[in-house]
Order: sequence, then structure tokens, then C-alpha cells
Amino acid sequence: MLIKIAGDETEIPDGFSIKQLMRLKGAADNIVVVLNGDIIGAENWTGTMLNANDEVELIQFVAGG
Amino acid sequence: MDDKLKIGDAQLDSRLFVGTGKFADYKLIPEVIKASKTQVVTVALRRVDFDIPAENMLEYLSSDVIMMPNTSGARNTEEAVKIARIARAASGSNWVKIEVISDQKYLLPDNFETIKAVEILAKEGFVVLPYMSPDLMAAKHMVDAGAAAIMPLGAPIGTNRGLKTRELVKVLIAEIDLPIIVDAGIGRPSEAAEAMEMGCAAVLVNTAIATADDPVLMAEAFGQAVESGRKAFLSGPGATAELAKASSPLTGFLRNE
Repeated sequence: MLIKIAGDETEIPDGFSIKQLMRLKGAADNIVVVLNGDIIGAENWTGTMLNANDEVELIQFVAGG
Repeated sequence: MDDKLKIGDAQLDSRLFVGTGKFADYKLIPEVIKASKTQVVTVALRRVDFDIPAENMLEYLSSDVIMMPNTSGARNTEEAVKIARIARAASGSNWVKIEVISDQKYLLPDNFETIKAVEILAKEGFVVLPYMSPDLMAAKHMVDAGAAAIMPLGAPIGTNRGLKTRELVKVLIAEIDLPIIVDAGIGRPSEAAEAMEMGCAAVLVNTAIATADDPVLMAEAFGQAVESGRKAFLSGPGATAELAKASSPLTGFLRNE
């Protein structure tokens, strides 16, 4: 199925959880996941399944003044 | 001397806030924090780019400093509010530096959009520190909107040009009953000391430390300058005079006058 990650369409397997997506991407646990506008805490990554057309933003803290 | 800076629920010993941008290596940041004795550091949020991985700043910040995420990249109220909410959820810190900028040449903040963001976020329980162009009326609106401190710029971001807005900042110090924190433009410790002598509650420094040849030594210098300037302010500097007034007795024993 197709979802959008940072606005780009991405093909992922059906029934994928956020945890699986993060593993696929090699992302660390301190990344912020925003799913359709809602922040999903790391403790809920395993239990949150992705659906077709979901919009995912992955955000992290970086240097800034 | 009990001279704490009170912002939100925090009582701070250090009046130097440090930004984490522009350092050649994130590994310098813990050393800079230690050398400067800062207790408040700013961070930013960015989309993860898996093609160009960036290190996560959280790994370099210990839990004894207050993280103040900024809303850099926001061009209007709505974007600033969105970034602030994500930052709080991700960091657990309810401090936020509101930064709304749509001018890309001078990076001057949009006070109008900033005031609206302050109002929304203060109601949501954030400790809101707005970065602003030093304007008295805008600052008053920010106070009414629930700001925890006011952060006027000294000069445009990253310019190291010093306290170009000195006169306007003095007005804010005189008229606004909230901590005034000069943010942006301060390039040298002497300028930070001057801001503190004027009565600023704190200063926020980033570029001046990050772009020094020895950032850790410069961080220490800024820490000392801010402490020194604060003590000078509290001690009440003496009056200035046009003509000389001798500090030693001029009448002596060489002549009978």
C-alpha cells in the first residue's frame, strides 16, 4: 500500500506498524512520529498500524539558536 | 547572593542562555554548556532526512539543562504553534522560543504573528519566550498574551554586530514587567556584559560562541561577562561627570598652596 512520508509517496507492506516502518528506515527511538497530524509516542509505535494514504512526518531535534 | 532568574517554574542561577546552532561538531556542545554554566539551551526541529542523516541533538543534552525548542522555520502563527506542540510532545519540555520569520534577508521576526502564537501557547501551558523586534507596544501585547519573558534582538541573527537596538531595549527594560532577554546579534562578551549592566535579565548567545576559534573558551568568557554585568547592574554604577574629579588627594606636602 502507499503512504506518504514527508510528502513523498512510499510503498510499504500491508499491515505494517509504525515500529516496523521505523525499523525499515533504521530510525532511532528518539525520533518524533507525526501520523496524520497526531504525535505517536514511541511506546505506541508497535500497536499503531499504518493504513493506505496515511501521512507520516518524521522529525528530530537538531542544533538551533 | 540570592539572585535567581525566575521564569515559569524555574529558578536559574545562570543568566546566559546558549544556542546550539552552527557548531562545527555536536561533541563541543556538552563542553560549551559546562564552560558557560548555562542552564537553558535552544534546539530546533527538522524533518528526518534518511539520505543525509543528522545527529540527534537530544543525545548531547543532559537532563539538568532546560531544553528550549525554537520554532525556527515557522512563517506564521499556525506553523509556530504546530512546531511548539510537536516539540513539547517530543522533548517533555514546556519551554518554547517563538520565532516567526518570513523575511529571509534580515531574518527579522514578525511581531504580529508572534503575539498570536504567544497567546495560543500560553493558554496551553507553555512557558513562552518570544523572539521579537524591540517594540514597546508589541512587547506589551506579548505580556498580555501570557509571555514568560520578552526576547528582543540586539542585531540581526548571526551577525555578531552587538547591541544595535540598545535604546529600544532600554525602553523595554524600563516599561515591561517581565525578564528582558537580548537574543541575537551579541558578538562579544563585552556586549553581553553591557546588556546585563543595562538591566537585561539574561542574554541568549549562539553564533558568537559557535563561530569562535575556541568555542569552549568563548563560552566561558560569555559566562563570566554575563555574571560580571549582572553584578555591576545590582551594584548600582556611579554617576558620570564631564570634568575630572580626583581620586587621590592633590593637596600635598611639596608646595604650600
